Amino acid sequence: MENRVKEWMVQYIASVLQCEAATIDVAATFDVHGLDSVEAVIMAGLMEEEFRTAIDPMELYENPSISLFAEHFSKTHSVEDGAGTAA
Amino acid sequence: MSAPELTIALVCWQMSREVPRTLLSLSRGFQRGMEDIDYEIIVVDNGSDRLPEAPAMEPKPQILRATVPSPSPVGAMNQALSQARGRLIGAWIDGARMASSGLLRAICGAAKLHARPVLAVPNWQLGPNRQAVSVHDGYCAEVEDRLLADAGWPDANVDLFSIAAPEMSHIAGPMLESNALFLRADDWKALGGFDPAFSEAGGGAANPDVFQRALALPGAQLIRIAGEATFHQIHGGTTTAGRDRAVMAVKQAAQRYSRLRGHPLRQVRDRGWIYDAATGTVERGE
Repeated sequence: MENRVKEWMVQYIASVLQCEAATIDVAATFDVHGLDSVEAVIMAGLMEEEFRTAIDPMELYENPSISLFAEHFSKTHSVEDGAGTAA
Repeated sequence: MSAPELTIALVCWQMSREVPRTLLSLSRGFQRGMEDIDYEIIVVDNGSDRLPEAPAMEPKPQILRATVPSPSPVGAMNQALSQARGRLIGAWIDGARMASSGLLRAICGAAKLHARPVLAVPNWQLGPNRQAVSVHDGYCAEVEDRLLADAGWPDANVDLFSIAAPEMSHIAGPMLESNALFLRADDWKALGGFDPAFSEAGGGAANPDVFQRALALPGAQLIRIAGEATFHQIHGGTTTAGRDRAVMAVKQAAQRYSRLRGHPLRQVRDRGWIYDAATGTVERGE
């Protein structure tokens, strides 16, 4: 699950920033990517749909990079079968 | 009757406390430098128990009932736009937002700089913080009334910036929407106004969507207005009624937008041109 979340976030942030996914550094903090608090809430909303689990935007503040959040998510969220498979 | 230079097309619902202040802030008595500019204000009420009252002011606002009231403001917004006669029209989707005193003059000045301007005024919120946060510290209508009175409202010299918080980190930063979005009348026609597909209560991402679509018009030029703003009065709206409701509203708006448009809701990152309202100069960033 950690890798699926990581991959989804890379694709998502690349789409928001309209850049190549390969340029997204998974260790960089969200503010380095230029994402602000509104975008954190938007991302949480779309992740909820994708992974079918409630996500508090505070989880993104407390785990402020793709790598940190993906690790946190895989440890703390139970995800239904099939969720997060549509890239 | 000749067309006015400017129309403000404003929507409200259950805002009997807030709309009179908003209208007064748009009056010739409050707006600086508008003595020689003809403008009109159209209000469409989206099904309130009673219509808001306009203060004694010039120009006298035209207050209409929505033909088809709806939980979404989009229909009322489009009705207001359809009534507008101005060459330049501003969509004011939240009637609870007061204007800074140089806003209309700045819009008129900035509009002269380009044939197809998309004029975006930054959103601020009255009070010490974003209202979704400050309500948890006791911020409410009564506190806001005192804050405005102590600052000198409705005196035209009141400094609303000194009692408010910005929604953007800086004028050139990512911008989700503008509550005072001005386009030429022909460009509103080209857009077809706001998209009725945003039928949810509060309109969801209808306003960010129209901003994005306006910028996608061929040859459109974003012009951000620095030094002027709209100021949200607290009224229990969808994104300022407490943190949990605000988060839920933004999440739902983002989900709906993504389903409708097939891509995520994005903030505008194009820096565009920045018009300095204080000096009347523009920074093109070239």
